[in-house]
Amino acid sequence: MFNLINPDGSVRDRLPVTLDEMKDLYAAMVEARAYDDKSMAMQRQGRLATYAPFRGQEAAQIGAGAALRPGDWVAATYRDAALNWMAGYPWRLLILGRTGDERGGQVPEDVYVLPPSITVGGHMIHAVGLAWAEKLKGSSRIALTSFGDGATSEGDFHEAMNFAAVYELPTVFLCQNNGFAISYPTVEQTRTETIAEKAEAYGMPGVRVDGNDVVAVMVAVKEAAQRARSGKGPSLVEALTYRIGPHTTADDPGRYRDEAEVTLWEEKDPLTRVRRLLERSGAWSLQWQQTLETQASQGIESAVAWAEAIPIPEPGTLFTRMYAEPTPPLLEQAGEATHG
Amino acid sequence: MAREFRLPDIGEGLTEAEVVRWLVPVGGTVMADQAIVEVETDKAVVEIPSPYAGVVLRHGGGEGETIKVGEVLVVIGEPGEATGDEDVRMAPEVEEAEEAPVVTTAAPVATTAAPIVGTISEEAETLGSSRSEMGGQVKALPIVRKLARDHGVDLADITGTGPGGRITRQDVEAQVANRQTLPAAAAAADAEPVTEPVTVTTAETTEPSDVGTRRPMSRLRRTIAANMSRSWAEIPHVTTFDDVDATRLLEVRDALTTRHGVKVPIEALVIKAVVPALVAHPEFNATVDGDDLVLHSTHDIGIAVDTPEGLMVAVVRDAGSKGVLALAEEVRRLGEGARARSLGVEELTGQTFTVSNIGAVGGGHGTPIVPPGTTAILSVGRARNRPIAYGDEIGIAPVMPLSLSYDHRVIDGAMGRRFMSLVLENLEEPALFLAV
Repeated sequence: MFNLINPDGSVRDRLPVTLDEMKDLYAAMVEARAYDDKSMAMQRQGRLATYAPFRGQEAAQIGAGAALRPGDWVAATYRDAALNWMAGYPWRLLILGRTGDERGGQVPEDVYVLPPSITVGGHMIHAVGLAWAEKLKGSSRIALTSFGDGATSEGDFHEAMNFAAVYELPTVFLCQNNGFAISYPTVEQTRTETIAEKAEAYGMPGVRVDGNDVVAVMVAVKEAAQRARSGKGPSLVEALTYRIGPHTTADDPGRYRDEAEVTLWEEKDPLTRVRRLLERSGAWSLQWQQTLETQASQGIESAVAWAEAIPIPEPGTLFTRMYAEPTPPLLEQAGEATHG
Repeated sequence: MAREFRLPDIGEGLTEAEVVRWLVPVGGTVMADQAIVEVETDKAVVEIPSPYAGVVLRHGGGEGETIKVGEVLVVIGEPGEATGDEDVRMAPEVEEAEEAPVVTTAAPVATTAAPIVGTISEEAETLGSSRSEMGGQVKALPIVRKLARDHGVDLADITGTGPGGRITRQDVEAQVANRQTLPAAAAAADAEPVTEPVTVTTAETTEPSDVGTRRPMSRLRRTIAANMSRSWAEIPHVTTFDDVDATRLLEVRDALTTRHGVKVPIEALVIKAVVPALVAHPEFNATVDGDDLVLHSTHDIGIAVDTPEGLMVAVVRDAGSKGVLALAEEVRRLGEGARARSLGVEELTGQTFTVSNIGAVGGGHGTPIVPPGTTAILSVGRARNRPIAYGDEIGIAPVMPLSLSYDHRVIDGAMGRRFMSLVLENLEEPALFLAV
């Protein structure tokens, strides 16, 4: 497994980042965690619909996001808010979407991110389609799709991997292997030892990285993106990580996993290890930490305030957002909905 | 201005939740998003954070009570707002409580607003228990209602002693017992004071104290705490103390180091010395599982590693199949891995016997606690030069203190002695275990 930063903050090798870049990555993870914590709290307060927390997976998402160029496509899941945010999706729209307002899925024009996919695995195929389009257009954009270990058991995984490999499409497949497909442990849903080795069957490179090591993830995804951009086709990056929280706010992980396992993974926390690394380099102080947290919290709070100030949509709008020209049955239904 | 926070649907399609524990008492201050209460739904126990900052004016229900989705969970006032009884939401209940007929609770109903913040929560609970009496809604869990129906008991005749005046299983059973033994005295029994006097809340829970600091324990620390408590509660411990002449053991270690140029941790030799004793006495390499004793076929030896965050136990798999040099390498690797937090769960769980080298931090004898899931642990202290008798002569030799704790349910004293004799013999003459 490819790894550069140990959980105690020591490094395996020279890091290909400057101290300032390291601090930026850390700040991004702090902000992502603030969003995650706030969303969990809001769901418990009845202000958000079901929420899928990503605590523990910040490095995998921030590292991958940091490896992309502006304009690269991202097609990701309901647990990938931090990755989507890194790629330009604003917090306020992510929050709006979680309040149940579909307008949270109206991605700004200059943001190349698909709305979070709730369907497990379907978006991998979308990403391959986007990559295909970019290849036909002759652009230098690539498409990254992020999915969980559970999605690799879906037929869509096979289709997407195979198609991308056959047509040498500029795709990066990022699997955040967080140990569980809801309650089903990874070891019980695949006979291979790693997800990464599945790449071989499709004729593409596969690599397993320490998904809690933000720099390792960034380096691996950068390499895969570079390969895609230079016409060498897709790659699979498996980021081995762990979902510290429940699958969603409607889940009780205590029923299917051992608390001791969670403890072990908390010791490998992606933020803590970078903080320790910065401490070793004399680049961390409590005051800086507090500043980061305050700024992150203020940013998230203002996104929340924005989303909560949006009036609830009129029922009629439900029928107008799917097609440019509404179909007759939709018009009929819209009439019934608004006039009884 | 007080604001109500109504219980939201925190799962998917939940209708109610039971209050498990209030984390902030009435009168306590709370910050926005600070956990205020722990509730149990039919899915999980979850903490609910407060949507507002301020002072908790009222709990919507006592611990053990069920609150429906949409009902008031808690009322929060502005920061600094008094918890006084002028609060409009509390007022009607106070009045009705006073009108309630024959309140049997012995608690001297805290009549006026108590000046000490810490007692206000009790006042609220007293009010709560009175509230249940005022006609209509009798509080009882469905299972208790069924129990009452089965015994033909009318819940309206019972004074609930549970939280918030809820009728408990014991209340119903007491009622049934009274009726059976002394039907006429039922009313009198009913009138007996409820045995739940107002308990005095210690000031420390509410008043900021100037003695020391309070810090949350890390998850690792909490896990250790839970494991230690479990072992201590479940396992009758016996600890025996021995000293062993470590002259030969240390010579062997130095010889190995010189020949191979690697440091040989003392644990490596101790593990090698212990395995033959575990083979001879498999009860020391076992797990109590209900009424069964599971004797393990391999010897997976846990070694205690001291890390800045707390003690971790890493596991040397199948130690019996490894030579001393391989064991030395494994002990070193696990030690470094545990300190760097890079070990996987499979390397940190499932030991069948534990060796704890407290000599590294200068330890002597001790009373180690048997880790859950095992039956024994050997702690090894630091070897120090001591006078020792050789026949009629007194000499000086490095003496290593050993402490063995074992599960007395499984292992008798005599067996403990036999096991330890073998270990001591091996440690005194390493040729005995190196030859196997």
